[in-house]
Amino acid sequence: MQLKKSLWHAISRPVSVAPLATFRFIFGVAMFISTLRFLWMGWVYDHYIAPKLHFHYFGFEWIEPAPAWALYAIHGLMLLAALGMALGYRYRLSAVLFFLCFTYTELIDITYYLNHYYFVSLVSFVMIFLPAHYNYSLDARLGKVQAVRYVERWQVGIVRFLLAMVYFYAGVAKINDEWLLHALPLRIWLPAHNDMPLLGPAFNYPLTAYVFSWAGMLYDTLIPFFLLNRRTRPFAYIVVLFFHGVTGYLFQIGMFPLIMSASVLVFFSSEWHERLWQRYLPGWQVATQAFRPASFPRLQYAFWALFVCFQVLFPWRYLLYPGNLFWNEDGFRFSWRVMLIEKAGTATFFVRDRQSGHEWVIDNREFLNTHQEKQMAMQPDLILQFAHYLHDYYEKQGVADPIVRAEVYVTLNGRPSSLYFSPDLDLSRLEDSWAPRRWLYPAPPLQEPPFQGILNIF
Amino acid sequence: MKKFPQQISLAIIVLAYLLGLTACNSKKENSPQNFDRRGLLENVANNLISPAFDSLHSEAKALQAATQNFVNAPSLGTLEALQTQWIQTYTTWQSANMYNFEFLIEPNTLDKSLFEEIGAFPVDSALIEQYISQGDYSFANFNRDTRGFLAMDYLLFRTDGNQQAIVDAFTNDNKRGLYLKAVADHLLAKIEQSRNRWLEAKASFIANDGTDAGSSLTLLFNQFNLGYERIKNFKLGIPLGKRAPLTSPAPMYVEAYYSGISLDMIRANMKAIENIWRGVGADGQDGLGFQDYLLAVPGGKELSDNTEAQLSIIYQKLDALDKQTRLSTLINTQYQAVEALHNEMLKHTRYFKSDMSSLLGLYITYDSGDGD
Repeated sequence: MQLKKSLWHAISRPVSVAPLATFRFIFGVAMFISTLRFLWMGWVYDHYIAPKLHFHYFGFEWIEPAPAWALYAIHGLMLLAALGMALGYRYRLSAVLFFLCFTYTELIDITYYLNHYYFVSLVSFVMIFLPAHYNYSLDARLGKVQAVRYVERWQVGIVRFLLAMVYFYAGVAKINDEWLLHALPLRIWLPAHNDMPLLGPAFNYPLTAYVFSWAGMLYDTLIPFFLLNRRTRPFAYIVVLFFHGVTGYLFQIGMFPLIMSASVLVFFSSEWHERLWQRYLPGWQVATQAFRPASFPRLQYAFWALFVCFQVLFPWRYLLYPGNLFWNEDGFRFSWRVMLIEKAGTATFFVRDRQSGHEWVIDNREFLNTHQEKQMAMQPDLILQFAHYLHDYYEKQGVADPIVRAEVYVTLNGRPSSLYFSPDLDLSRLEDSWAPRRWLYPAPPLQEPPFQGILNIF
Repeated sequence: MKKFPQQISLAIIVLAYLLGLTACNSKKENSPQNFDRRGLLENVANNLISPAFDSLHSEAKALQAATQNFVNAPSLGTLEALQTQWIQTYTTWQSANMYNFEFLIEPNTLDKSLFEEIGAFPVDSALIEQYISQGDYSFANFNRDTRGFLAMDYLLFRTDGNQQAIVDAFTNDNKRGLYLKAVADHLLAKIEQSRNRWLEAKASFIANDGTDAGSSLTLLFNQFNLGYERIKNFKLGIPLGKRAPLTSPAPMYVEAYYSGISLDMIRANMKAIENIWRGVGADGQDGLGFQDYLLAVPGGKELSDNTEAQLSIIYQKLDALDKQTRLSTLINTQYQAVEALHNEMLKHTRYFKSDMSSLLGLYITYDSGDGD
């Protein structure tokens, strides 16, 4: 009884809404800038309008890109919604719109999948239900919502949970022999950036890749705990800035380092956030001491408990599959495996008329853009999707129930490339599912001793 | 306050590490993996691309002059001179036709890459004849298969080798000569344009020596690969009937069908690709190329060896084809031998394409990364 009570208290006791409001502001501004950048780079056209075909998410095969004008309108709406979130203006509506628009555009083509896009979808979904506009917002100032100072603790905590989860799982994913004992793929990636000022020359040495691999793993797994602890927090934040600064410089990961660096501020204390608002936007605080408990508490607690359980368990699903995770990619996505492997493939497709036996070689570029081709050529589910597309396309052209086969060579973490599966398989007869991909050849072993080249200093 | 000294000592360790490695770096020439990317770009720019555009340009001028001579006075003599010059110019083209960088395209025009502007094949002979009969030499249309090198191949050669018939065609219809002249002028103009833009861009091409998407190395890598695939897909795949909707071999779709020099051109083109791989300049000097870069990274030796082994198989298959016979004939008579060359080129793709970019850590496209 006592335990239940203290648990209840830990979850629902009143805490300041300020950290949540700051996060709302940061997230809204970041999404506004990201969307603007996306439009500016011409990616709406390149990603959604120009391609002949799109690769679908499992279960979302019905999602097709809207016409060009509508896609631009959706991005315009996304800009407004992000701004609405930042300012806390018609917040719930803004959050719902942002979540729907963003998630829809992400679902159009899986080859553009990034863990951080998935993260944005998750966060914006959760934000719909959070009282992030209860203070320090236009809604509160204009009286559209009754301002309060305190909300339930889990309503701030769940945002911290999501951020901590990303770091922690990204770190756990790095606990594998290739990352730690072989410093792969950093041993490949770092020398390619030896022109970086200051750090660059050190990248030529394998030892640096080992140091970075271990540091990266420790950073990702441990940083959430150092951020949660009040005493280590300021130092941890400096490390966060350094880490995202370096990775942002080294790798083409766009807005992500900036978004994370700013979002992590949500770990700071209520007082810190209240002072922040007081100092920079003093007029935005509506003075009140009120506390508003969550509505429909039983329903919400149950739902969010399930949500958290799902998030905690889903990344582990790979344990249910046999074989090399990086090779087979059974359960690879939606699990915070970020910048984890260097993988590439070359896929040559052959389409054969089942009756006449005449066989053509496919020039992938006729159907796919460079990015789609690159992603498809190393991911088994996308290879199948493309094969099925080719089957249907050529069947429509009058080829009798085409046999689609492919010669795919994949290289993983610097291994010499090897055949991904039998070139004689009729891919048009294979379906992707939750079942293990037994049609793939097993991953070739890494042909080098651990700690290769680590002493290569002098 | 107690933490402070610890932080300082950590900072000192990190600094010492960096300084230590940097110091080693400057002392030793052959430190692990310090490949001179700028050196590669300099070599390719100065010793491969520039000479390629230079000789293409002077050969195109000579071609224009020979065309003028022939059109002024069509005869067996002037025709032969022009044919010889055309073969010479077109051979030079094989060392330049892979450099289709986007920055070489005249901005704010509807122009396409130099290859698409002057290298398109097969040509549409019926449309060429139609333009000639209409006296339309404006090229104010998007039918790029009615001009360029291969339009001259069609106008200047006959598969039956009847030279007199070619001369007669020009003597009997001066519009034919005007069209031919327009093609040669257009060819030179386009080449001049690309060459000028290259000379302007060269310095920044060399300076852009990173490995990110948009860096010169990735741009070169892409053109190198596209050049290779063009041989495989267009010069061999299509005439072999490997591309839908062809249901049988299409020998008339070979490159340079009328002059019949297809095989020589494949060889020259392949050699040029190989020179980028090895970094061999126009003067035969072996400088830095992709192969040298590979040899400087772990695992690169094995890939380099595999690449070399497959390259020699490709040359074996190429050598196995009878040099005295036209490729279009070989496709009819020795289909399997030609197909074998195509197959070996297919097998080779992965070495140049995904294996190399992966091992070198080149970002081939924008927005392909994902990070924490």
